[in-house]
Amino acid sequence: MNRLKLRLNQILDGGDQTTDVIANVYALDKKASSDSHARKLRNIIIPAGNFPDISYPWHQVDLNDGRYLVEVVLPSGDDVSKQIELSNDEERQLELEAPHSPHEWLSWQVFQNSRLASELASGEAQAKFRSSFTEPLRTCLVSLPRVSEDGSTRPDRMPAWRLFRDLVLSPRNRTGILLEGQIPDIEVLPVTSMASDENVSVMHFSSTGPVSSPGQDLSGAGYVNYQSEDLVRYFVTVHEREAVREIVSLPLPWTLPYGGPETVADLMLLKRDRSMAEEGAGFLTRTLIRDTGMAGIFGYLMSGDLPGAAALVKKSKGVLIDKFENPLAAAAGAYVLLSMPSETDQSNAPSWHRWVKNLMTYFPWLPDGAIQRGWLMLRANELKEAEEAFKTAFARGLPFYSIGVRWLLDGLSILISHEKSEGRAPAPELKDAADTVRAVARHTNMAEPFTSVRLGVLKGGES
Amino acid sequence: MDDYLVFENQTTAPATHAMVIGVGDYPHLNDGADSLTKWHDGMGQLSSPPASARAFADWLISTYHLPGCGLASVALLLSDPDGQEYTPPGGSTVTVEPATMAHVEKAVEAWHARGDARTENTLIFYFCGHGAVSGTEVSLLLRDFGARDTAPLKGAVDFRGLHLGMDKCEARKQLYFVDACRVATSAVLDAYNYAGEPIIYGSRRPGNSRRAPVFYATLSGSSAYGRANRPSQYTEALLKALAGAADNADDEDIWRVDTHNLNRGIDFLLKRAAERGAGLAQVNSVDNLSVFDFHELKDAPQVPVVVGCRPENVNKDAELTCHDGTAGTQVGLGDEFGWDIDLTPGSYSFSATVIQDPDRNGTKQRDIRPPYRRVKVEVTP
Repeated sequence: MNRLKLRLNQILDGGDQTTDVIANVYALDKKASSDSHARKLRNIIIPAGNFPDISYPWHQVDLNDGRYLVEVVLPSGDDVSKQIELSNDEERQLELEAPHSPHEWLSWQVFQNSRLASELASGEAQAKFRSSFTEPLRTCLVSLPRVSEDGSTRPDRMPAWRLFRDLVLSPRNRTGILLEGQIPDIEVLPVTSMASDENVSVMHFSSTGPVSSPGQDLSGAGYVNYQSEDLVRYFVTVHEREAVREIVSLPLPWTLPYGGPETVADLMLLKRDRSMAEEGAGFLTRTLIRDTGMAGIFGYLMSGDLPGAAALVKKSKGVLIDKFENPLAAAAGAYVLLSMPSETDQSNAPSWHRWVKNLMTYFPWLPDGAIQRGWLMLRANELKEAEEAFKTAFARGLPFYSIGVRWLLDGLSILISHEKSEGRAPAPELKDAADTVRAVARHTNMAEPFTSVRLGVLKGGES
Repeated sequence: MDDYLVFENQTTAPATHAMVIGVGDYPHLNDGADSLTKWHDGMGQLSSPPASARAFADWLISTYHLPGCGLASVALLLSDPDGQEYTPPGGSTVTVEPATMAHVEKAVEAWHARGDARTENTLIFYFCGHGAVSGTEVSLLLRDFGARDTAPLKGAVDFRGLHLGMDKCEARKQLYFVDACRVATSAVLDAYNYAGEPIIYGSRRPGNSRRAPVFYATLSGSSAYGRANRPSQYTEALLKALAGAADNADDEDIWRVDTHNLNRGIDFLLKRAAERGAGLAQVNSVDNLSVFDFHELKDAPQVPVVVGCRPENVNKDAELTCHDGTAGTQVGLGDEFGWDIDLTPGSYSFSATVIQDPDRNGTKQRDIRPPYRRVKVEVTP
């Protein structure tokens, strides 16, 4: 039996980050494919990073003699592959090489996102998208006040759906709105681009807030008490012609698995030629997490590779699910698992289902936990519990993840539909919640994993 | 046979039922035959969707194969300014109904009813035409979009609503293909909480999980690109991927296309089209992905292979050959982007020779298998 050791050489910003990626091993000839196990080596997890020598981790696969194609599918959707032949009980080390980013400071973005990678990959591509847009873009970091459902300001509530509904429906929405003029007591904080070229700028965030300068002291920023009542919700607003065009919910506070005061999140602002920007806005935002345990999951999800994302989530389940180290990361993992019919089968409910209830119970600032609980209860035909969970989610405000926006809307729609099918009028609060969520959902950028809401008129396109 | 069917194979066994819609004729959009709606947003007539829908219907009838759930019906609606005729493979020419809301409603309801007969049924939905998206809302514009300026979306399908509503159908495997733009239009933005007609209202309590992935031709917020009088870039990629993006993990002699590999195959082909300068890159996407087999190849897969030289700047000067070790040799002249060929799985010898300098050449032996492959032949300096 031959032993094949696999890993991917992948440099991520600075070079010492390691993560996991997905690989497939295909049997190419009769000798290889005679082993049914060898035929099914799909979605195996291999280490990726900048490994100085062979002593660093590999993933090992035992294979019969024969020819094989080893394919690594990156979170961006791109792939690298190599054909090999094994024989005579050999041990082979195969380190494949990931594509390089055009700039080291864009390496995380390129790793996770194929569309972005194709836009940034070559000088020609950049020239195509070079902006003829001369008006400046400005970003602000705001921490929005905790507004309760009745409109008063209460310290124990997060920003409400109605706030966002009013923003998207504002008559001034046609040209964006002046956020500061409409919302009292918002706190505007400086946020500085940490790296940029003429088309792209990147802002960095530590686990608890913005990184305003390259040498900023981040000591103390690593620890997060997720059960604190003082957790702040951060949004970045993008201003065009001094009106707000997009409000991006930041996935903060975010704790890295290895702790430490570091940059944990990036928000990238990419200028685009307005005539080529189908949405009519002269920019694109992309938020990503610099978490080696989660970057791949987000990337695979964005590229539509649910099996790849699920494989990584299952590997990390112990960290994600069994501990309360990072509820935001756990919520992301739960979205992946809940998307798989096999994982939501009630006849064989896995133990992690109880954790979804814990996400809702122990983190009242996290709407996503309640949304996931509601969805699980729908699957279990527990409609009253589902309704309570969705109402709780609505009261907690905008979910951190855009998929949560859709699931909340669909969940409320299903409940309303059920009431109607039973000959009952849906409860007014249910209908109101659905109408409100729908109004905001129509302005939510569903192409991005983290919730962002676009304001202003969007140009129509031609298909 | 109902008015919308262009293919029927009546059976009570588990079966696949398809609904195909291609809309190119929009009388109320620019250059349309009727009054111009104020909600046109620059949209006009399309020649690609009718061709795309016909091509997809052809594929279903002539090629789709799922043992234990064979094709039982294909309903087709077209709106084609060049005529409503359709000739199914091996069949006689028929005139199909236009894709107006009245006809689409009836056709979709009938399709729902066919799927509803058995839990084990599979449903396939395909739409090509103008689309509009606002966040979670997806509107598929039918022929009569804009017929009423006071309610333009009365001529549009609320696709999110339809997708939710189709959970009421007993058929637990459903595939949706939406080949349309996903950008917002003023009609969608202006309509408060309305994105068109869902046709099948409400939703089922999701106790018995449905598998219903939605394959989109492009990302939310982006355009999709057609080609004059030909299947669109996306539909062409879809049809090629259906012929090649297969796996034989379960049985080395049987190649099956599943939803995950299909997505990968389409993605590769669209990227390749963009590399070849097809215009702006179009990135496909998929929602609600759950992985299951839905098509089994009767013949060997046709694997898209890109053959090129290393260094790449030699591509345009090289003659490239591919030899399969028996009788077959293919010869291609590379352009700057390389040489695209389709090969069945097997072992091949690839060679490159610089035409003006034959001493510069190279050879590479490679095995080819799905979903796709890039082969770089090292050319001597």
